Amino acid sequence: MARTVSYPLLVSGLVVALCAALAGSMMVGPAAAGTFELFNLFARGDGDVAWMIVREIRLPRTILAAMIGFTLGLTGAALQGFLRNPLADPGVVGVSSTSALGAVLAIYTGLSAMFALALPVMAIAGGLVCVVLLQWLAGRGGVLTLVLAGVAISSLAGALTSLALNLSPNPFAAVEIIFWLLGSVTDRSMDHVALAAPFMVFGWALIAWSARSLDALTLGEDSAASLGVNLARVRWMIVLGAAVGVGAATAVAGVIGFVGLVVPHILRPYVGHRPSRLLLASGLGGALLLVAADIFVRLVMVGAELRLGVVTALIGAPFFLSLVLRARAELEA
Amino acid sequence: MAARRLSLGGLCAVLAAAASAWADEGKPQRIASLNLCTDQMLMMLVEPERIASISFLSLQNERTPPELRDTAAALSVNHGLAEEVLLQEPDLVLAGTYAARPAVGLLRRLGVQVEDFAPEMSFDDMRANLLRMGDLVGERAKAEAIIARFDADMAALQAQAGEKDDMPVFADIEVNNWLAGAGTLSEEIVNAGGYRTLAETLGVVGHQNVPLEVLMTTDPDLMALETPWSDPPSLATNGLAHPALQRMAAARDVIDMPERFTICATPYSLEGARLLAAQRAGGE
Amino acid sequence: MKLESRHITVELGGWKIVDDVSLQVAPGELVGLIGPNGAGKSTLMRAMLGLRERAGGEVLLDGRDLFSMTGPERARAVSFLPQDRRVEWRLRARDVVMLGRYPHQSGLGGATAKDHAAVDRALEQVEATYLVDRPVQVLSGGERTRVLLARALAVEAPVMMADEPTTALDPLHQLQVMEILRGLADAGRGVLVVLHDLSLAARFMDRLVLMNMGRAICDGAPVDVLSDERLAEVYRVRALRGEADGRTWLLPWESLPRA
Repeated sequence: MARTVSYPLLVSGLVVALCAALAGSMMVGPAAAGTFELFNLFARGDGDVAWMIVREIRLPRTILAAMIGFTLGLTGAALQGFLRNPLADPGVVGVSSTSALGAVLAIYTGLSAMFALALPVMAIAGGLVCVVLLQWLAGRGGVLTLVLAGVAISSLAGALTSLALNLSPNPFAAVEIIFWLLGSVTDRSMDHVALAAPFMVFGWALIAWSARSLDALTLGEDSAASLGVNLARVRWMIVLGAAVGVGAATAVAGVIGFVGLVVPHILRPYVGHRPSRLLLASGLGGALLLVAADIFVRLVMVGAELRLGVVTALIGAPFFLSLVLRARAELEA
Repeated sequence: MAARRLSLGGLCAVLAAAASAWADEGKPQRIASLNLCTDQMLMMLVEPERIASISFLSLQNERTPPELRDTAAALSVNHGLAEEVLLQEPDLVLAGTYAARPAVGLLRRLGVQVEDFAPEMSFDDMRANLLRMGDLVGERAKAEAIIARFDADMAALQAQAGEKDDMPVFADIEVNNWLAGAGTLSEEIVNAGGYRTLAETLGVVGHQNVPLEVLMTTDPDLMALETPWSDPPSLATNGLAHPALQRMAAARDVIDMPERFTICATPYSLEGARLLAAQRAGGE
Repeated sequence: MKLESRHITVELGGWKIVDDVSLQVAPGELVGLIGPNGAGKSTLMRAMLGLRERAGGEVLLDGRDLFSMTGPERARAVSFLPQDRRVEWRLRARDVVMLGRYPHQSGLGGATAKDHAAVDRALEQVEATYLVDRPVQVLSGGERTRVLLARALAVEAPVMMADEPTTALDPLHQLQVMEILRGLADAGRGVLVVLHDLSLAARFMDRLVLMNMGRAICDGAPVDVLSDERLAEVYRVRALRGEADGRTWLLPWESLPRA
């Protein structure tokens, strides 16, 4: 009846699949460049160029896709567990949008050119503002309050992002609205990895720290507290972990939506619905999804390269709708 | 005091206008231009007194040839909005075929004479546009003189450039990895400067965005990676700082090739070809 | 272990909703906390557990301040079955009961053989062993209450508090739950239960604490606390009484007019 696979088996299966995707991502180039051109380069003896492509172009985008996917999957699972709400996702609740706003302010004012760390720091600050606003707007509300508050915050952050980009004297800024709304890891460099990776890992650690408490929260806050869970500390761990991880991810790749919604939802039955076990599984699943999607955008060339955020939205939005329908059915039942 | 100076200035303007109206009878006296490239041609052809306004883009030094900047700075500007252009009471409006279209439609309906100019994709387009504008503003002779001088300069450069097959390859990588290939103004300029474009060697026709990985596999002799738009920055302009591109450039000759040479086709565009010619001469 | 609360006061918007309440629960004792709606029973229990801010008072466990302990230490000493029976995700019954072992586990260690044994014992006590693999969501009200009770039992704390554990259960399950709590006390634990049902209170409790308008107005054996005068004054009901199996039974029979 219950679709339970043994947990170690599930995790090792995800790891194996992720490794295969990572290897694929290192080998596959953009369709326009000849998908497997790399092998020809080696065959021709252009090893130096081939290594440069692997090291400077494919490695950073692969690392970022994997780490950002892990961050989004993990954070989605943590937010859902903490808020006990299956619709909680960094994109849906607005953390991604406000992080993007922070990043946009850092880049287009020239702040990050003077001080590189300003980029992730501003994006994280943006994420924190959102979480604080959410606590205030929808602290004790139900599923719908949270989603509505998230929609409001996302719209506002999106509008302010557009405003900031339109006000920029740089002629390219205005067209970059699309990057911030629908992110991408194309042509990111190791500099971006160095900037974002430490923050993402820090975010993971904060969330992992509170993993067991999420299980106890399944029974509600009173039971959890009576079991010795420090609710205030857990809240800060999750909130900070989400803002730091998603902020850093968004700072270098824009908003990539729905990963944190779809992945936990698919994997939840396979971990017996336990929030703590869902964390690692969702992280790995998110990484797998994003690396695979990034390979997909290279293979399917429609004029210019498809954006990663477009692919995740195409997968995620129908999913979101089905979850909303289910939530409605439960409300009416 | 201020009012008196104003009225004095107003009087001078009226007198000057009356004088020039007498001199240039039948020629448009208040010309508005809504497009960067028509701005530049207009400033070359007529005296500033006859220009009602130019587009605000011409005030940006990144887009305007140094020879025209002082003229532009002294003129009124418009932002391609019908209302502001109407208030400037133009008797002729020059527009690009792709810009400010709602304003153009509205102005025509209100009875203003609007002339469209297609963007110049080549120096042939430039010659045609210059002659047509010369006719419209009553400066045909001036237009012909400009073209004659341009043709002489061009011929001299081409003589120096030699056979195309012997030309070294120049990679002018624009923001977002755009390359200009066959059939573009950039190609004419680069060829006149004695280089082939990287895009030509890749078989690119027109403008095309080329994946970074493809650029990595090429081996140009000369590269340009500069953009005037890096401060304040954008993702697109930051992209030119990608370590892979920078490493590629570090192993090659690099030249600063300002964008303004290729935005509009004007005789000033040949300055870009001269820069390349000097680079090639210096390199050999 | 002896649980003792002293002079507990809880305020809400300037009102004392629990006013200077002291009570104690000795090992082996099953104590009922009763009173009409809004008397402050649940609030007092939550305040004693530290789930609700107190304006004053202290809770001692064998003379030691409960709130000077760490969270897990406190959780190992006092287990709690709240009124809220919701379980958010489709957890299996066994995983829910295992949550009772939370204060005994740490870090990434996972469940030990000792934890599994405690879970097995708790499930046996509530006769829910056959439910272990089912998601809690599909259980009936009685089954779910038993599983959640097993969760509280699995803590194996010397003191247990339960907030209205019999609400919305059929007579069989009400009696079963009370028998389990009785057995727990007989085995030497101290048990404090918030109850609405006066019949069950009279039938199973060693001692009753009667609350009204935030104050504890009476503390003693059920027969003494549930006198006709007090039932009339506090509950505005008249009850029938009788004797069976050596105990007094009581049945609220009719409401009384406002005095």
